[in-house]
Amino acid sequence: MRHFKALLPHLSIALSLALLVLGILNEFNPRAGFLQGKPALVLICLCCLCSVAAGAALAAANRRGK
Amino acid sequence: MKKTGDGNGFRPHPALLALLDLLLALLILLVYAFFQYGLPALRPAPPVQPSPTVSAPTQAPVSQETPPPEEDNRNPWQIRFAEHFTEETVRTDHSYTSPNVSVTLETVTVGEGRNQIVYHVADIYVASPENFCTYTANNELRYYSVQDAMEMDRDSGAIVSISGDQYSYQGNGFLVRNGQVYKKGYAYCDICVLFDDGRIEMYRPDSYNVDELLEQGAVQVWNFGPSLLDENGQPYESYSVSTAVSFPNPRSALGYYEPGHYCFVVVDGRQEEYSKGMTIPELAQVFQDLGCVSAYNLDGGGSALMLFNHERYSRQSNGADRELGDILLIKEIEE
Repeated sequence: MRHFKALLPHLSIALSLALLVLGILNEFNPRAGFLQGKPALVLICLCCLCSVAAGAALAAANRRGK
Repeated sequence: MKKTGDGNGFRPHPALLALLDLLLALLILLVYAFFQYGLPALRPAPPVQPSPTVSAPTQAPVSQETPPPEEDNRNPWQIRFAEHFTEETVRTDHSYTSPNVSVTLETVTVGEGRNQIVYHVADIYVASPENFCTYTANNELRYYSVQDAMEMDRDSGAIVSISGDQYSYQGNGFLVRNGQVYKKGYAYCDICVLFDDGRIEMYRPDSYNVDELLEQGAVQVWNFGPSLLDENGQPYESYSVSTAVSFPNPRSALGYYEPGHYCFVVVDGRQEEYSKGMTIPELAQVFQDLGCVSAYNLDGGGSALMLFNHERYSRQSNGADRELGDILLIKEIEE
């Protein structure tokens, strides 16, 4: 669990970076559908889940710290 | 690796962590690319079905008051556009006429210096909807399939052709080529439909039913856009296009007057002192000036190209023919 908690922020960073790249590519060539379809939806959902989990873990850690 | 002072174990250097994050992002992108583009490409192409017979317009009802000459077996389009057709095939550097096809090309230059724009208009009359078709790269419907535009032009027997909508790079959408359905998904853009009676209609996303359009006889469905003119043949007040596409660019577009009468427009661009290209509103204005009732933007940029008599008629921005997924073309019907 500790390792997973440590991995969460990095997973969030990596997923966000990947989405940023896709967002930029999509701006230049929207017809390629970089942000359309199931794989893109899965990526967005994963990013959201990781961010929520990382945020919750950080909030809990801050609370314990106080 | 750097060892912490309190002996709790190794803590990676922040730069190494950042690098690992980047590598992880790259890995995610690779996995995404595989599922988004690689996997569909591995799937077998849809079975080739015989193209539905596109019937030429039938003979007009014979009026008893003015009976046509008995030997006149021309179809309504041949009669309607008779002044544009010739009995024999006549080719010049800027035109092609035959009993079934009339293509007249014109190059227009507006502005000067850095603001100069050069565009090419092909005014097209055909005697049958079959004269207007598309050719897909390598004569197949397949993801990522591309071919040299000149080769496609020659292979298809085109009289005049322009770049299409790069269907083979589109992950989604509603795409039909020569009556064969390639994708029946949701299109995130305006679609342009050519029906088997020669009509062309544009539809906003979510404003059509795929099966209904197919039942109505859709033989070509292009996904690119935007649609350039409203229902009154006027340019829209604004166009929803991405920032990169909104600047002056080379363009390729299709115009529609009436069944049997169409036009292709290709705008040269990204070439200093020759042609800077057009914005979408400028392109719409061209079609309004031409008198089209509707018009549709196709894949421009480095793809924008017009070929005539198997030669380049427009000047491509990258100086060489980019491999394309498909072309729109006018050709004689093979007997």
